[in-house]
Amino acid sequence: MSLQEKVYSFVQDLRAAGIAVSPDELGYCYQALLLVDWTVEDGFYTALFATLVKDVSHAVLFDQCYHRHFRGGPGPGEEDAFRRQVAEHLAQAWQGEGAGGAGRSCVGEGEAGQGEGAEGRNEKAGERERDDASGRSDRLKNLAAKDFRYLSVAEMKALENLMPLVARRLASRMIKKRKKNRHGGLDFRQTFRHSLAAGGAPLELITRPKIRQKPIIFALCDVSASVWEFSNFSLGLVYSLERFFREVRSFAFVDEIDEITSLLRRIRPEQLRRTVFNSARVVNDGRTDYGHCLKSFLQRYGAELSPRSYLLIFGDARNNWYSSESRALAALKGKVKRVYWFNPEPQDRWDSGDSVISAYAAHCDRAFACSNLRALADAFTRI
Amino acid sequence: MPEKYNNTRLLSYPLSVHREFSKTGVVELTEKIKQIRDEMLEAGFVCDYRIATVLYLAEAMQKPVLIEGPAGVGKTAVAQAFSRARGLELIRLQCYEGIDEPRALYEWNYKKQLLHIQACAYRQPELREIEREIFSEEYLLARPLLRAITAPARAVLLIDEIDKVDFDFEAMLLELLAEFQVTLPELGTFKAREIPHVFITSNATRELSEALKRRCLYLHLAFPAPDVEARILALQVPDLAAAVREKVVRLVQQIRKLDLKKPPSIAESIDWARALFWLAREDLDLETFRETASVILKYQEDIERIRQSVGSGEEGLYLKPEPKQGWR
Repeated sequence: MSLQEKVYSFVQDLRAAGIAVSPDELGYCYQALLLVDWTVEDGFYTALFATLVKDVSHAVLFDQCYHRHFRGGPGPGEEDAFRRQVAEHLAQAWQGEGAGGAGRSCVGEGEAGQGEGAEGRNEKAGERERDDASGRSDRLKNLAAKDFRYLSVAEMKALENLMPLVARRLASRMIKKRKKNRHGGLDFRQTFRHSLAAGGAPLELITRPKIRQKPIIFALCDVSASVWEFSNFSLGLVYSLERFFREVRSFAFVDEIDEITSLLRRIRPEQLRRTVFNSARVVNDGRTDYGHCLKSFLQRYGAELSPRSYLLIFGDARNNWYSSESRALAALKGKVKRVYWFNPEPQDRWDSGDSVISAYAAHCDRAFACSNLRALADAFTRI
Repeated sequence: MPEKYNNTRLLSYPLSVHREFSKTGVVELTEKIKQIRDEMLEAGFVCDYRIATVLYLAEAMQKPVLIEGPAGVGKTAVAQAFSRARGLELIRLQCYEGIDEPRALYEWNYKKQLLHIQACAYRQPELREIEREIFSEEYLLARPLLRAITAPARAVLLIDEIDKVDFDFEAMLLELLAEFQVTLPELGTFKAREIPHVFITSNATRELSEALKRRCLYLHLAFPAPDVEARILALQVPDLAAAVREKVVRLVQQIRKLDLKKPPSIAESIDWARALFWLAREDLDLETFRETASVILKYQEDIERIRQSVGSGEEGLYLKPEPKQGWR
């Protein structure tokens, strides 16, 4: 495989892993590769990284892919071959440089073809690869529509890469909400004062800035066994939310509730659930008890809630026939700005068996049924 | 077939890039990058091979650099040092929430225009004449973006903290970065004679638009390794005793690993080193640390917490391990 193909298949891999690389960026990447010395691995790596990755949270994924494809940098012969081919085409292009545009297009074709012979041979392989890549992204889309309960571990891994995107959707929604109506009423005193400088003509209208408060997010995640697939996502989501909001406080519970904010900051996303179980006090006798958890949340953290806070609860409200203590949720609602409940069960299963979601939903601003990732993401656009 | 490599876009690259490539050998490329590194060092910025590579690529490809990283890690300093190293004017646009075109691009100087109209009222000039006079460059307030475009020589344009601006302003910026020309309805079109070097910094408090990211080269600055930080301190505070410097670096590096409200940045460790120098401390002992902790820690809680956990050992100050939290 020539280096150019290698880079291309590397980019395909990045795309499959969830890093969006535009054709533009791929072009810039080739261009950058021409400008660095590949024998220095730092240079080669940086040329790829600076052009293909635009988000530091993608760095881990990028490194994994990089190691799969180019461990130890490109092979010794490849660089020379690629450079020679490109240089030949360049030389041809410059002979006809008089017409700038024509020369340019030659350069393009030269790089593009990099030996038409090779192209022909690789035609089939290329098509297969393309099908592969589009297949992969289709699969990811289908996975997003698949019920959380039926996901395999491998599928879950694949979907977890999408969590930052879902978190961003939530964040942009909340930011937009904040951005609306930025200006308050007319500030007559200031406007008049400034108009004096222009001989009494009020050229600039000065409005009072509205006092805007940044939201504080309190996320409560049920991590019990009945929702364990879902809890992977809710924890992953809260983990990603940290990047978008200055103040995110996260809590996990089964039948005890514990704060995991500082825990989430320290650990890597892969170890979320295990670490939460190992180092936070969330289990007493192991049967989910929403009522008790909400009550103790109210007792322990109620004083820290304010009208700036948003309460997001992730869980199925299956309460093991314990008392629902919905009054605790009502009291919480009185303290915060909004309460949203995200339930991984489809709506037709709500209130079946030991589910007490209606008792809680009555005290939420909205309760959403999010049985798959797409529904979860859609729910965020509706809050 | 070309579709396979998605490289129809390759056509649009400036020919000069390719020409330069063919003239330079492989070795020279590395030399060039090293040269940038040395020039940046002379300008007061310690950068590693990777940073130098990105700077070199940005210069050769004429693309903006998007710099991200924690606060105080030296994002702005990259642009400043680059402008010093190249001897170019630095034009800085400090972004803030609610910044708009009149503040960033250009504005007419209304007051001066009004004065002019009032002053020439007695000779009753023609309307068109007044218009010609008051809509001339003399009455134009050029803001940073217009200044970067109309600068007589190549400039370094630093767009600081772009994550603070609104989406519509970002879109305007995008258009500007693509064309480097701007049309003033009253005056005509200005086009940059030479495309400025653009540095965009972001604290990642919000996600930037894909379109903007796509156009930039990406550079992420993290807190430096101990040896790099020691070199930075040596460069910035050359008079501080090497032993004290070592201790400062060791302690700051340890403090950064804690989960603090605000971890000390490079700027703060430089300030601390300066403070120690001006206090003429020969050694960094526990007492000195307690007196000067407020230079690196900006929250009372952080200070309290560190004060309790700093101990003094043979190697200088160190952090005692904190008691583990939670139930196990």
